[in-house]
Amino acid sequence: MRFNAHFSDGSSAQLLPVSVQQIDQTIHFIIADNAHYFSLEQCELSPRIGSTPQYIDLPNGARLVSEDFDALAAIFTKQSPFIDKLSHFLESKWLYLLASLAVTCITAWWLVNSAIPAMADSIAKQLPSQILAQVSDQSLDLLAEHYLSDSELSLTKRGTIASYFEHYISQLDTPYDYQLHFYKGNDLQANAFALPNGHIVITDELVELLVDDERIMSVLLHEVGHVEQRHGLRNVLQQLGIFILFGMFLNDLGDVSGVFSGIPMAVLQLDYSRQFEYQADRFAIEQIHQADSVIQASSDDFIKSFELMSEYYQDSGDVPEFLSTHPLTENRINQIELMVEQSQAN
Amino acid sequence: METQQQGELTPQHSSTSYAFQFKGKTGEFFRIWIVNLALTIVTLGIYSAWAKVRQSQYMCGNTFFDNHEFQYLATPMQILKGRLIAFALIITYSVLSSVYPMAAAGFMVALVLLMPLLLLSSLKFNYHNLSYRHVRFRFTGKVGQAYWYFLLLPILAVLPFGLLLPYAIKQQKCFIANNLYWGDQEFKSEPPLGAFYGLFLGCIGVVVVLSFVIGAVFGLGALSSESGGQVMALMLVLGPIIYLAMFAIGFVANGYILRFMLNNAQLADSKINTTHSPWTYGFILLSNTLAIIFSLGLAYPWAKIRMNRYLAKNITMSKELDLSSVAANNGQANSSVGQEVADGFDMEVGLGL
Ligand SMILES: [Zn+2]
Repeated sequence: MRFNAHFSDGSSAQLLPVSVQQIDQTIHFIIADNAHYFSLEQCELSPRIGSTPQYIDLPNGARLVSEDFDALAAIFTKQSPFIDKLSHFLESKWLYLLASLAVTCITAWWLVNSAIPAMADSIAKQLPSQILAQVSDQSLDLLAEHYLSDSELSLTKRGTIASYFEHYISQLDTPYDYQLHFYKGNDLQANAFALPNGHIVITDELVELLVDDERIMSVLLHEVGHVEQRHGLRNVLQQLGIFILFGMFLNDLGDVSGVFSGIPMAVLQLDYSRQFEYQADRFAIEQIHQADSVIQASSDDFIKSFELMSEYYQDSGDVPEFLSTHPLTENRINQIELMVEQSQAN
Repeated sequence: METQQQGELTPQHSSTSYAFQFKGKTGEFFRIWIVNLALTIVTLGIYSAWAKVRQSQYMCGNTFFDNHEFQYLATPMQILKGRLIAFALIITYSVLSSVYPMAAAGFMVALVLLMPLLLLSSLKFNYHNLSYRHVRFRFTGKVGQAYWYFLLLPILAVLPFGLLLPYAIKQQKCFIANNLYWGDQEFKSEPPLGAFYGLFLGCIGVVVVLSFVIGAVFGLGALSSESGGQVMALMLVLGPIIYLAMFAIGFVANGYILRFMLNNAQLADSKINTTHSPWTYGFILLSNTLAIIFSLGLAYPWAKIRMNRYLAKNITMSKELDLSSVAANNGQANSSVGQEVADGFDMEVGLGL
């Protein structure tokens, strides 16, 4: 068996073409009239990787480079390490490629759908409250600066809502320091949202739309649900987790730091997943049912709020991001009715 | 396919310059990549060390310069050792930080302070394990320099309204280029500082014009319609475009910096030259990023090959230096554990900062 190679002695970049011959358990070649012999055991063959050249490291620091893969495979039968042999075998068979693709996709799906949400949940539970407060304050400042303006509601209306809200919160066993903020929504229109530390914002437009204190309370309870279940934080952590996962799979995606500047924005986007919305609805309904409250909010008030908001947004003719990321109003009303039926059956 | 490759070979044999050629194929690299991913998952990450070596060697072994390939010499065991140490440190950190929250902050500070050291080790490790014609590359930057160029200078540079930023970027790039050796031959690159400031002004100009256009669009939008809703809708459309534009500016700027560095670089007496267009470079980077995102990562092998092919096509080196005469300098052939740990941390450093 014979193959062509380039020889270099390791002391300089000089490469010499040589013809290498195998005789039993040795290889030999001639350079400048000098014959070189090496036993196969002394030589180390580099693994086969795609169609890149292979290397034979010789004991004296010299090296042979060759692209004669068939001859190398025939000569160095015992040399290739098991792991690289396995990799090369898998890479060359379609069936195993498909299996690899399947393993990767299923794992990615599992990570995105189960593992990352679970981890985000446990991290969100452990995050110190100072960080929570800081992120929330930043987000609220940004919002107040760019969208919101001072509330124009009457002080009595604000006072009534706030006292109902405080009364409700006083009955709740919670680690969060709830505060209700009134703002004029402007471009954000009729809206309510919760920040991770328990600060809840409701816009004048929403108060004017819903009119009744009971309806307003039902919407606020939904927001309390977001806070209690740490939805905002979990959402951000999940996005972060997915970004990190993405980076790990791709190894060198480049500038990963960009994601950190996006955290405040992610909080603002209110991009709660549909699941989170259903969970917050469920929380609100449960609270409505068990609260021994001065106000008599009912699930009907909750449903009416949905209907009013959905009508409002249809009339104004554009799709605000608030609704586009929220589940269809109809589906949510259905869920609420289902829950009411269930609780009555019990 | 075969004939096309023959066609690409012809400009190689220019009499005045050495040329690059990248022979990697998307399909082949995809196979290696996807098998690597699956095996890494199945072995709970241990295989990632082998994956790293196979992918690096695939890229190096397919990069030909003057018809000879590069070689990646790190062994999976070296990489595995580094990654295990990095992993152990991360586990220690998360256990510590859940018991003593203050320890977490301390660890982050330590990581920031160690960052220049890790970057330096990573540069040393990567160049030490890159070889061409059986002669290794070498990075000779010192610890003190690393702290100056990677930590102090960037901090100082942003202080006076970022006015020193172009200078800092130039100095950082030159630190890397001017401490690089192939065998006993030295790389040098001294691009004119004016080019960096010109680029800086250009970027600012583009950003200003862009914000002006956006402002005008919003102003018109607000005038033509009473409802704020339309402005909102416009922002939903424009938002991602602005975001992409910011990325694109960064990518094109990188293309310019690469051109400044290469066109002023030389190895011994041989001058390096590149004909790549920063705009094409930026376009390839941007479209690669988009393709990777929208294919949920599957386009990664294609993107990687595409960029390497483009750069290889454009970079050449004049023939003053007789390549085969270059002597190896294997003085510090033994690599320390620190270098391997740095490599294991590679990504974590990138994430942390
Ligand atoms: Zn909600």
